Amino acid sequence: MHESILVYRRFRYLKWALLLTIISLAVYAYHAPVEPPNGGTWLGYTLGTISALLIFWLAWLGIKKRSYRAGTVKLEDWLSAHVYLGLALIFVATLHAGFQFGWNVHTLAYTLMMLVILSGVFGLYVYVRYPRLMTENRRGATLGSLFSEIAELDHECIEVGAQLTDEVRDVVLYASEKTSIGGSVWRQLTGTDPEYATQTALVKLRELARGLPTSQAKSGRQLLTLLSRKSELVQRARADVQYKAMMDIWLYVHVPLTFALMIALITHIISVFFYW
Amino acid sequence: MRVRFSHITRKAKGGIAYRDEDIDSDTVRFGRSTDNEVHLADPRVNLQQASLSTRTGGVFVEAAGNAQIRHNGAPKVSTVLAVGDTIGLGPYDLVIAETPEDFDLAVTLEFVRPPGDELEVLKSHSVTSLVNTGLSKRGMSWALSLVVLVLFLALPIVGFVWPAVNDATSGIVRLDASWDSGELSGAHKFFGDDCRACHQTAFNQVADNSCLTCHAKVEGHAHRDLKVTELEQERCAHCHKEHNANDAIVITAQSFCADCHADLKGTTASTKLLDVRDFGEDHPEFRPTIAKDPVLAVMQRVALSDKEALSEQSNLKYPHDKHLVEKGVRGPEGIEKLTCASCHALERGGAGLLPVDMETHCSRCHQLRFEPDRAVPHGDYEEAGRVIREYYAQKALIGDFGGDTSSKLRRRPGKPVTQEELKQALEWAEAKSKKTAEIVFGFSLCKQCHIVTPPKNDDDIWRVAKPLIVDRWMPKGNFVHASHESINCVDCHEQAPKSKTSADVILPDINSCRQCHGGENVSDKVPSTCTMCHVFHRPELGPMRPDGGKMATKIGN
Repeated sequence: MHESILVYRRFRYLKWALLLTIISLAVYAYHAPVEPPNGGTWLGYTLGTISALLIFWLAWLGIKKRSYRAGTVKLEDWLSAHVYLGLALIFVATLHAGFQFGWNVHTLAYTLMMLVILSGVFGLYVYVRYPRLMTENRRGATLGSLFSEIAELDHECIEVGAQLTDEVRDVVLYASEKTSIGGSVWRQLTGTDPEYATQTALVKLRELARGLPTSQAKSGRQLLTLLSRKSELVQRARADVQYKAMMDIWLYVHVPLTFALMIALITHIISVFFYW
Repeated sequence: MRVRFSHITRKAKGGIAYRDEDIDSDTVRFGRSTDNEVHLADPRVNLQQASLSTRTGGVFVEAAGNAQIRHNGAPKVSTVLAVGDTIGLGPYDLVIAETPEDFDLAVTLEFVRPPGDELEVLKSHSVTSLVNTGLSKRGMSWALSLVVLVLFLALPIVGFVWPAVNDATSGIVRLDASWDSGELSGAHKFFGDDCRACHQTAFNQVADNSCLTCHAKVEGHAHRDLKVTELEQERCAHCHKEHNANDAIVITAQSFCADCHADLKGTTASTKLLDVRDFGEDHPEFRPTIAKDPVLAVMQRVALSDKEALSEQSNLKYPHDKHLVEKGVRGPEGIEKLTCASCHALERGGAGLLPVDMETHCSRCHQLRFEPDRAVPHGDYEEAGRVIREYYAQKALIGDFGGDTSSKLRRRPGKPVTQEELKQALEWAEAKSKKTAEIVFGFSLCKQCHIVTPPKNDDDIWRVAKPLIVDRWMPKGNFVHASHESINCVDCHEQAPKSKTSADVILPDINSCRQCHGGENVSDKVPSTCTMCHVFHRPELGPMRPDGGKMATKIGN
């Protein structure tokens, strides 16, 4: 049975992460340096070392999970640990900084880390929520089969439309030629389209259908049915693309920022010891 | 009009099939509608697309309604036809051929633009994955990483290795500004743009000689012969933490001192200092340094709790109680009420009190006159005795014996003084001086405040013991009177109005301070750490780093 990575092994990694967080908080509360809390006290160095090792380890997981070579540790283990220990970093790294922030490479590394975590949280959210939305929206179909169905409907519409007036035919051809699914990053993420060609055509056709002679009324009604069905499928295809985009987009933030974070982190470490 | 249509169909294998159709009609119409002479079934063709007709000048083609036709590729509404012309009707091309006999026109008609596959059209208009939008994780990763690497790692290092680069950019941007780990303390900000002022060598902790450039005179903490290794080997920066604004450049935390002073014998076995952890909870009773022998200047630290030993030998008698009586004292202008401020004034800066001075504070009431027209000077007992003797000798010599008329030397004018007369006068003066000195020194004036010694024989004089007044009873505690101005003097110095003798050390004990002051962590009193009263670098000791910081080369925190 499918077990969410969140409850994996009865929250084993949540417990680890909580333990790490609570110990960090407790030592921080107990710790009373003669100077303001900062990354340069013994606790600062300790929490900083833990944070840095965690960051590199969690990033390594990104590579690890892409390799199909089965290791001794299951993917679910890695992923569950990644989520919970990543969240624990919010506390450990903040305490490492001693709440000292500024316009410098040190806070840059911290900010990048927080953005990586935030994008990860978003990724977790879409992974928990979107597959169900996607399944509901697809109703057993795939994006490919939706596309085929839309194309078939287009074909039928054109055939029926050819029997009707030129205006009706124009509308049908417009709906066929101008309908697009997805597109730019923004269109994919928002599920929008600048033209909404099929819907526009449908509205136009409803108007035209009223003016059709009785002999063509039946074909007109048939065309309306076909186009309505197509419009619905187009919207579902757009929603499918949107869900997929939402499930993908966070990685376009998470991964590049992780690399930037690692460079900033190395820079942070080098700089503090360079100017010791 | 008789027209021959040759319908051309190209086969998959490359062959061409012709099918001729002859139409005889005044007007030959093309369109999707089946009532046209030439039925063009493709849905892209209008119901009525175009027509051919003969007019003056030849055969014309004409677009029907709003339909579009193309004449050799150019959109036209109507045009005359010539052999070789191509007329585009939707997806069909009509090419004018040589006209055979018995015909008005011959054309070939070919379906040249088949409709796109609806699925392909839809796919070509759609982008259904972010991968195909141009977004690239790899590209963005490289770009961001390189920006961080160059701006925040490479440039600062370049500026450090080649200072000329730093100098060249100094007016525009500080290359290593992004490495600042926090705000500098106020005193160091003026050279804060130059990281290398302190960080002289890469990957080495800030060495003492950076600090000693300005702070060479900073004094030590413990006597050097105590050989406290920690004090001699730790770097200045071990205690003075920069980049925390003004919060840590001078450490005030109690634990900083208590680390050693909670068990000082542990680090310095020979110490005479008492252990201390917290002002409110664990601090020895005050041990003022009091005078024990004012002549030999012997000073001794005595705890306020040691009531027997707590007696100062200052050679001065000053009963506070007689001066601070409620009803007042007799002054030159009548009864006046004295307060602490009558004699004690804050020194400039407010830390201590100005010395009490005979001339300023005492002499208005305590005049040193022994005759209505003559006073002894203060501060020099030999001179005081001389003044008395000279006064009476002079009186005797001018024949003025004061009020002693019975023995007044009488002589006639113009007649010299006889030896007998002189002898009488000097004997009188001698006796008068001696008597007066007894009164002045031993009874009415000097003895009031001082320890006096009568002459041991006839050749000796009256002596006044030199007093020793301690300026600060607690030289290691920087108590600031000015900070406590809102409190009455006697709230702390309770004994003052009752004190009968200068032997009293009228100093408040630690519990008096603890009414308001507690240790660092108190919540209901003034949190007071060690540095509120004590200094680390003690002015009475020599420089902390007499060797210019060479000893402090130990690397480590």
